[in-house]
Amino acid sequence: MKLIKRTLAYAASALLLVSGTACSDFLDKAPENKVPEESIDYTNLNNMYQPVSGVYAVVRTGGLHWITLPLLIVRDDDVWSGRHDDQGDLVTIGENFIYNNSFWGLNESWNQHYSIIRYANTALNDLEQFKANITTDADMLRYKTYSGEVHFLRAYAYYRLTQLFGDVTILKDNLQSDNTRSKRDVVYQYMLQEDLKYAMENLPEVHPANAEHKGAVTAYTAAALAAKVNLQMGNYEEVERLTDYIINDGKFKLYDDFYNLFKTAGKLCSESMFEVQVTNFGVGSGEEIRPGEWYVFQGPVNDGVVSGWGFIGYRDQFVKWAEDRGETVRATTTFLKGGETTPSGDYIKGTDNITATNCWNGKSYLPANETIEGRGYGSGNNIRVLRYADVLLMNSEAKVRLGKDGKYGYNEVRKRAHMPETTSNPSIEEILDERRMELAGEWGERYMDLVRTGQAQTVLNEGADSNPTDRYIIVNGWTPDKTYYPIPLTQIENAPELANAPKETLE
Amino acid sequence: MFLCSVKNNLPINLSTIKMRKQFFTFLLGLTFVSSAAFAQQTKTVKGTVVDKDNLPVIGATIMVNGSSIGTVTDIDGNYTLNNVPENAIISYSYIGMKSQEVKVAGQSEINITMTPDAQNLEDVVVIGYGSAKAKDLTAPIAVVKGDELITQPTSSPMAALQGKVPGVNILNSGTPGAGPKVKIRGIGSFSDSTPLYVVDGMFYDNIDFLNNADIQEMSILKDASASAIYGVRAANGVVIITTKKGRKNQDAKITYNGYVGIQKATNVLEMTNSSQYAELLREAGEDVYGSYLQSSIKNWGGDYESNQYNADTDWYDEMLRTAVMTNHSLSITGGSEKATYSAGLSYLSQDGIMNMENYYRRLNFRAALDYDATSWLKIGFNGIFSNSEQQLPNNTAWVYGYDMAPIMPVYDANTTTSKDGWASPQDLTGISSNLYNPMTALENYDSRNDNYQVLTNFYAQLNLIPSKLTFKTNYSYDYSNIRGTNFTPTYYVSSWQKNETNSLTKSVSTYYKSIWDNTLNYNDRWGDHKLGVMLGHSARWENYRYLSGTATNIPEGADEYKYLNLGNYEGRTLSDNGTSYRGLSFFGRVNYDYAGKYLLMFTMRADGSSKYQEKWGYFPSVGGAWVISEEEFMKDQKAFDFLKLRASWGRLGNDKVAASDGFASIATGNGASGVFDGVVVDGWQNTTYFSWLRWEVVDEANVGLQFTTLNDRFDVDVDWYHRMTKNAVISPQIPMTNTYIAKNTGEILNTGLDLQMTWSDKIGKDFSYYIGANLSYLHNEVKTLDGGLQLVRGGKTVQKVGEKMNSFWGYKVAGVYQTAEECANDPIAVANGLKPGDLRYEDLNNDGKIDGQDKQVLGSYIPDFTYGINLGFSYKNFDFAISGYGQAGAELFNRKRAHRYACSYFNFDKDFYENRWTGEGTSNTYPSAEGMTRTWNIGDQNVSSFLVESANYFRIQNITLGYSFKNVKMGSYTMPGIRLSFTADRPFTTFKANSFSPELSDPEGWDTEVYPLTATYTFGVQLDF
Repeated sequence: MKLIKRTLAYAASALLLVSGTACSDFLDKAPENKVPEESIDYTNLNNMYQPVSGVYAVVRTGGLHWITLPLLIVRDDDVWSGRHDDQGDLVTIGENFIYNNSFWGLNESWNQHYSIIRYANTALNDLEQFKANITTDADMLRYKTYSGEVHFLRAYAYYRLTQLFGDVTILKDNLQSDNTRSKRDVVYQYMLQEDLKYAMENLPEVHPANAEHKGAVTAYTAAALAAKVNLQMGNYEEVERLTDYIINDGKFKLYDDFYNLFKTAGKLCSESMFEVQVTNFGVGSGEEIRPGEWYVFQGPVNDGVVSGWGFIGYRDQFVKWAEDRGETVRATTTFLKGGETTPSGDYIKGTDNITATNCWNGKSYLPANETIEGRGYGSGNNIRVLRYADVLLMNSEAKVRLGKDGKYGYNEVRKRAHMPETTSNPSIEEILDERRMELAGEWGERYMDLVRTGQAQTVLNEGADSNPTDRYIIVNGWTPDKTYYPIPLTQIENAPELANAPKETLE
Repeated sequence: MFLCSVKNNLPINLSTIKMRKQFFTFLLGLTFVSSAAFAQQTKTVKGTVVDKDNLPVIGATIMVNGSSIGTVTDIDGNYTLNNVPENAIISYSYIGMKSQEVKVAGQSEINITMTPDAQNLEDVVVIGYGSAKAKDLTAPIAVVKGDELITQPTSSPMAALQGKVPGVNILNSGTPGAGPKVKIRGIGSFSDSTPLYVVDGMFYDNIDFLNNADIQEMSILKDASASAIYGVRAANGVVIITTKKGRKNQDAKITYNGYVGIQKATNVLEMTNSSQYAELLREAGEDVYGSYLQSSIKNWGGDYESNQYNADTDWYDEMLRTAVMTNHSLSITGGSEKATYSAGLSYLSQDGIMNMENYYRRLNFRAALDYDATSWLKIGFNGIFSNSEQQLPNNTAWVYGYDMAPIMPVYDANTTTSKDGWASPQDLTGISSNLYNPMTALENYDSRNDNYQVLTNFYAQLNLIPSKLTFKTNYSYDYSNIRGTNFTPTYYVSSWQKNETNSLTKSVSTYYKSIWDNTLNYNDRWGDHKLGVMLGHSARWENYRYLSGTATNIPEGADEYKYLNLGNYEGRTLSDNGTSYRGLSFFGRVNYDYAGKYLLMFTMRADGSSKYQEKWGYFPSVGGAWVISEEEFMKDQKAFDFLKLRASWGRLGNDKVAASDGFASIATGNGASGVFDGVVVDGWQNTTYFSWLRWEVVDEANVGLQFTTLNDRFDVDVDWYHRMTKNAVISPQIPMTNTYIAKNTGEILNTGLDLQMTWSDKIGKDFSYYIGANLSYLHNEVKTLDGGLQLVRGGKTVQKVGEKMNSFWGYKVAGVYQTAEECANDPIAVANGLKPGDLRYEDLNNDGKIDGQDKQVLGSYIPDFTYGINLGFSYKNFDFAISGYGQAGAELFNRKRAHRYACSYFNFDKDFYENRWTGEGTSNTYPSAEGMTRTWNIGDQNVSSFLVESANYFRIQNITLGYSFKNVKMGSYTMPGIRLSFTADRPFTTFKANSFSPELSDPEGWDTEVYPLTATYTFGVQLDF
């Protein structure tokens, strides 16, 4: 009896101790607030556009990182950082072409554009999977269109990378282990063959405003980018062919009002070939799909909503050059001057501080009366990326270089800008000057023009401005080896093969 | 199977019925066992217990070994024990005395003289799931008694431990109500190095909710053999906290403890005043900064020619104030033959020294009851109820105060730029961004947390075989609810510093967790052999829920309006989150002791966690000790009173790392969707960066030596340890992305030495004193990152193989260019357009260029040495104590100064003003004023050793002077004691860094938004009723 009871007591304690050994499911607890990963249903063709829309999103979030624009434009002779007291690297780049390979902005821009390429790569894989389930011709057509859009966006990211870094890595596969770079022209070749050719062949031949998804890229957008690539390579026949194709199809027209081209009214207008689109849903609070800091960082030092960090200034001598040329609407639009009131009625405070600009980028100016109360500067305005004006000027240049009549495009652009037209064939210099004015402050066109025409060596070594009112901007120290930025150090640390000699041929 | 039925969060349900039956079975069995145990010949033993001065020892515990027969001595030191078996051994113990064991062997009168246990070797130390005598430990465990904490003016008990325990590094924060950062034996994880706190069986990440007066004692388990019993939670060390309990046979003891004092900022960083500031900017470029400086004169007066500015604001002076701190605690403890109790309440109120409404107030209640229900069943309960409110300071504003130039007043009634009379930095020419009026930032900051927390604990202990086998079931439950409110009113200072739509965010965070432990303890002895076996099982539920909402345009004016539904309907946002984890553990410990000479301990814990893919981990440990002074050959020597050598090894886990990293799935939502003509078209982004993670593992070996010598007056305790973290989670960057993916691939070594020495003695009858010192040496090193990877960059610091964790990375300053010729002759200076007064950097790879490849490790915030000293004496009714604490071999990054890269209008610190380069030969370490405006010297990417400063410091931690009145007659009532005391806490600190304090809130050592440390001067009263 005694033994039995004692045994029972022990058994009971032991039971409590070892209870639970038998039930391993006690630990099988799913994580809170997480829906388990579901495999994508590639048979549901209604979702086929989703990966494509995702790539547009990364072009918006990554491609518009604010540091990219100054990196593209401060290297030319017209624009400078706008501020001496912040982001000093932008000042030393613009003044002396001192490139610091550990400048965060270079690394950021590199990563942001490769993230576009990565998302594009996975989107193309997703589309492949949808394709396996396609049974109708209509769906096959959609598939081709969608793939074409992704191909274009990928080429767009490579284009910016080559603008910044020259020789870059072709990332064919996100898991690729060898990230050795390729020569710039090899990358161009890859873009043309792999992406833009496909895009031109498969995208609809419509104005983007008439695309299935309004504002999506079309065959003409792809042709315009292909023309730009060819212009860099000096393939003028190809530039002429591509731009003639766009012009002759007649789907595009310059927007009459240059001032409003960059404001609310000009969104997805007749001239627009590619815009990065945003929205504030037309209301003053709540969620907003913002243009990043794109507008804010270029916003003038001012009170009220039309204000920002005060970066990006036009050099006084460029303003003077434009005004001496007799520029009217393009000057009013491009130069957002301190101490003056804009045509939209916003007074911009002036400054006599010579370490900061007093003339900001009017192309990224959105008037207060176009900003919904409660939203920040630039809210709701798209960012213009490719314009028909560029196509017209490329067409003129190609024709003139090929000994043909290049008046048409040149005159179209000047007519819209209320500048006198020419009756004789314009010279290359005149066309380049026209590009300088028309495309000022947009995406670094001026710097690329200086480099490809060989003017950089002189123009970017002109020293301090003789005009004493200018704001201490010196442009000096450009050499051909400064054409492109160095590969960011962090990238080399993470992938040492980036330091290797770039590949000479397309594999 | 019992647990299978209680998988949800209520572990007691149907099965309790089953349990009751089991209890009934115990009852039957135990009655039998206990009545059967002592059926042998017995006698009565009497005697007196005295101390070495022949004074009676009152309340000494006398127990017959292996039985429940026991008593305590009366007021004359006399005792009587009945029913003592003839062959019994009687043990005599008393707090602060060495215990003794005497064989009865037929004696009926046994008189004992007890000797003091100066080094507390007899103290019972709480270890994981049990307790042991200090002298029997095989592991280094530091014990801190509640009495040592109670008079320290700190809001969190851990803050009071600073400098007291070697190997425990405590970094205090000045923010009211914010707890300190605690590291035990270095940093072994890139993720989280916070130790585990076990309060009455419940697991915590911090004990900020406890009042110093709530604590009976803390045991700090420093090595792996002690903490391995906590398995996967133990890698960062374990602190076991026991809250106050009563003692048996003690009359009610009522104690009031309180202090009131003031806090003042110490070592306030000196900045330049207006004319010094202007002098520097004019040196940097008269033509560049002249118009800016003159705009101050234009607005607020002064004279540019003589460099005088009417606006001359010392922003730190504006931002600081003297603040009050007070604490009151009342406690009552006592016990009868069968029950003990302890109850208390405490109230702490601490105002912050930032000149805005910020404070911490906390009201705690606690109660504990232990009851011997029967001879075989003991039950107990304790609870702590903590209620606190924390109004937060705007710590971001500290950096505004550093940055803002003195040439602007706080207020300007005439400005048209700002509203409400604030002076606006935009009234200074050229200022568009980066500068804030710091005082507006203080005034318009309103963020608070209201915290309600309850910790309860219930247990039942069954004596299955009296004093041999016990079973204990213990259930702890913690509920805490934090209501956060964050309101930003509308204000306008400048287009940069403004808020045009007010917004309110409210959040509710709820933590509820429970732990159910069951342990079986067996202790036995035969001859010289002593054996202890503990087996345990534990189940754990941890839950966290979070809900928050934001709305804009709330009516302003009263706190009563702060409801989300009074704000705009449009644009309200909601966030909801939560986690739930479960843990299941089995553990055991075997102690073996041969004749008090050879001690062995094995522990093993199997930990199951629902958090990870891989569920189970196993954590063994082994420890041994040799008490050399107990050996025969040591009997005749006088050199050592006690000498023990110990060694141990154990394995621990750190489960504070995430279960996975990256996205296995697709990203959706607006961020992953394109916009087409104002319409969002659903998009997804398919990413493939994903990894499963598991806990980190620490292997630690410890060898220690402890001895007492010179007649029990000198005690030395030294430990060497070697801790290697394996599977450390690090996050290398995926090439050509901004994405970091965490992997269990790192190895981190922490090895070092902890030394503690104490000398204590008595001179004459009235004077006793002690001197103690402790020292910790730590070598911290990253051993492996990921494969052959040598360097992983973080946002602030880098991890480099062979260097300390979180190292600063940049150029080493080799000097300052002194002359134009020197610049002209140096290709680096030419290439970068450098001038005299610019820093010269070391060209590490000698390629004639300074670029990223020339960066090197410039230091780390992890100190090599920390040390503490303390001494004190008591003379008659006076007592005095002073303690100091310091660290050496650490560096910090002067981010405040480095931040000048963002804006050349920022203010300068006085140290720079006084030491700058002003011409050939004036400085070879500081750049010129112009240099401070150039990215070469102060760029975001140009971190250099100029900005890395020594974080070494030494501080007088605490000075206390007390006077006690004993047996104060108040009419017919005699008060047992009154003690009055004055305390100066942290009155003096010395260091070189240009910082408020080298004690930074940032674990990586960036000195940015540091709340200044304060000196606290208090007057305290202790009343015993």
